[in-house]
Amino acid sequence: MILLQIIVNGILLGGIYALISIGLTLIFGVVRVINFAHGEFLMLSMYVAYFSYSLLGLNPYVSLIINVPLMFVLGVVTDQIIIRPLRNAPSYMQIFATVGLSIVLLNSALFFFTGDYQSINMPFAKKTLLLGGIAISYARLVIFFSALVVSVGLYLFLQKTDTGKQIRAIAQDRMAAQLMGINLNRLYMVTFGIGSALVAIAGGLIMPVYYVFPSVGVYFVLTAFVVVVLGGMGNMMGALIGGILIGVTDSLSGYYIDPSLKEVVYFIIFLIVLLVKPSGLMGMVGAEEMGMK
Amino acid sequence: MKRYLVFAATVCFAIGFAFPHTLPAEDVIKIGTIFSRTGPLANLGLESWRGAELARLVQNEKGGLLGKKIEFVNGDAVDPTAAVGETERLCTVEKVPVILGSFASSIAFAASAKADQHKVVFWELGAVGDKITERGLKYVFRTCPTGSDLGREQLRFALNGIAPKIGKTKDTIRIASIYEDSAYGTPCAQGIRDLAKEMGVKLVADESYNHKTTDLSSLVMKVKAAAPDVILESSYENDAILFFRQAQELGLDVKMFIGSGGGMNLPGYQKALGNAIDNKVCNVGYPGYNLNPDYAKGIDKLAALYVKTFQKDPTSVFSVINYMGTMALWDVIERAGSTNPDAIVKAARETSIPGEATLLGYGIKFAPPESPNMGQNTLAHYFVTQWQDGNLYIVFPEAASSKGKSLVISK
Repeated sequence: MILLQIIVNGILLGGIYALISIGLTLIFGVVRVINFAHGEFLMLSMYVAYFSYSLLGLNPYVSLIINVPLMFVLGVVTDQIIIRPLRNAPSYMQIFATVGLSIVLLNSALFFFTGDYQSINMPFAKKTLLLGGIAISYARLVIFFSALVVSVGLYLFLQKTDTGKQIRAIAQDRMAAQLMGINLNRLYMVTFGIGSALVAIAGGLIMPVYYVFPSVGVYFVLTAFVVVVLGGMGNMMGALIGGILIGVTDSLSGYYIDPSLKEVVYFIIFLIVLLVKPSGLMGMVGAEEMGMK
Repeated sequence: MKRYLVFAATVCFAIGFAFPHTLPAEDVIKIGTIFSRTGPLANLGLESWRGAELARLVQNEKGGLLGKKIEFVNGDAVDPTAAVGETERLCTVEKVPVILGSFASSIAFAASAKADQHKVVFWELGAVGDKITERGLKYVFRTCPTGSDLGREQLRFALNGIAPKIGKTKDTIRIASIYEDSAYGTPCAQGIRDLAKEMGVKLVADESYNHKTTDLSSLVMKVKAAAPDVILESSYENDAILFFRQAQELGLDVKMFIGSGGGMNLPGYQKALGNAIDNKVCNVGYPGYNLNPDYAKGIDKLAALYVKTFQKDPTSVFSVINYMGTMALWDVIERAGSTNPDAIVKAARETSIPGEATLLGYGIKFAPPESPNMGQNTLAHYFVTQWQDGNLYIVFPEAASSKGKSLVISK
């Protein structure tokens, strides 16, 4: 029974990691930018959820109607002001730029919001579903199913819609796509916006179970990078599977080995997977060149 | 004539410079302070300094020290590097015989070593890092308890405060210890482990974790499997909130969580968890102004002086312990009869202030030179607070309990 509970905990945790990683993998796969400010975007969206609750009395789930468009705009602005001028620059220049952005956002948050921990004390977050002796937190269940819906939704969007097809096209071969008349700049902007809007969903949904402070993004983003690379860069289903794999590993190693060694365990698995399959679990060989799945 | 007058005036002026001035006798005693006055630690650093400042005001009101008024020369230690620079300045430029500090262990660690090099007394009032007094530094003294004392007090409280109230004994109570694995949690856990071994108490769980983790469910499950009555916890704020929330989610319930004054006694912890922590979470740490005035004689007057001096209510518990430690320094200097650092060291080593003569009810007696923690106040101890109705009240030792408050154990 304990083993089952630990696996359930791990799967639910994996949902959180996946939800945070989906936006990152989209930006990775299409815009080909390693967004080191992704954690700070998560932090900002958590603050939006917190202030919507404390100032407007909005439930963090409802506040997504503010959070998602706001973060979409932030993504668009980031792309246009910071990434666009560096579009054809070497990739390390973009890394410097996004690292710089993350430092600016983190320290601005420290200045404006102080370093205090802020959280939403919602009775719903404490409720658990008991299934045959297994405790399942409702709030974590919501996150998990949202991760499923977002992954599938994004997959369908990329497969079925014109914009989605164009996004896949530029991910596969940006020069050829441009020759076919696709507006590269507009699509990069939209993709960065969607990637940032997806992190808003994560920020809003995890707020009832976590708490926000200026460096909270740093805590999550390293795991998100592991999930993205492990699952296969640019692969939505890979992010979901990678998230769940890391979540379950985290949970099992924390219980059966040592809670302080769980990061070591999943980083070892991460290294092994990369050695055996450098493109990640769901990626094709050379996927980083070939783009979206 | 005019020319002679100018010449005479010039000669007089020159003579005036040629002979040393007869300076007025020094009528102040300059004491250095090293606290974070700006930067991320300034909030609690300044609050700590305010305790020392109150002690200075009280002593000056009594006539000062050795017949002279006390004056502070304040150094601003944003971080350990700045602490070293400021200590250097206080020792060489300001030539102070004693430096008071410092609230943060990293700052105390750096500043005290520098002061010791200059043979200046470093009088630590609030930093708990064990190593501060474990380096054999002759001029370093500490009046507050240590980090590992925190762990020992956690265990003692579980055995003496909780066990009798839940119908358990030293041999039957099930105690789990969890701690974040950095410089704060590790010595606390070591203190618990050492005392448990000494007393023959078996810990049912003894687990560390990284405080930056985003999930503690496996730790919760591990502790739950050990079925403890009490959990001794050394956590920062974020991990303390996470552990309690996940314990709620996964049905881990115990009679009491006993923290070691880290994140579990901060307002953010209470705000995040609400009334769920009422009567459920205790904390071992420094006491504030809500000590029972019958126990801490004069605490109410000190609280009034704080408000009058700083025009606001205290923002944390730190000023009380800093006040008490500084008052002990005045006693030592009076007995030394001089501000010579060696005379102060000698008087400090001979110090034996009984508990009833101090505000916090514990005495001052420093570990001798042959001891591994030379200069540590061996009589210092912590107090226990409990969250009740959204507030932290002192509940142990019972004599010190906030008026009308006592330890509550939920059914």
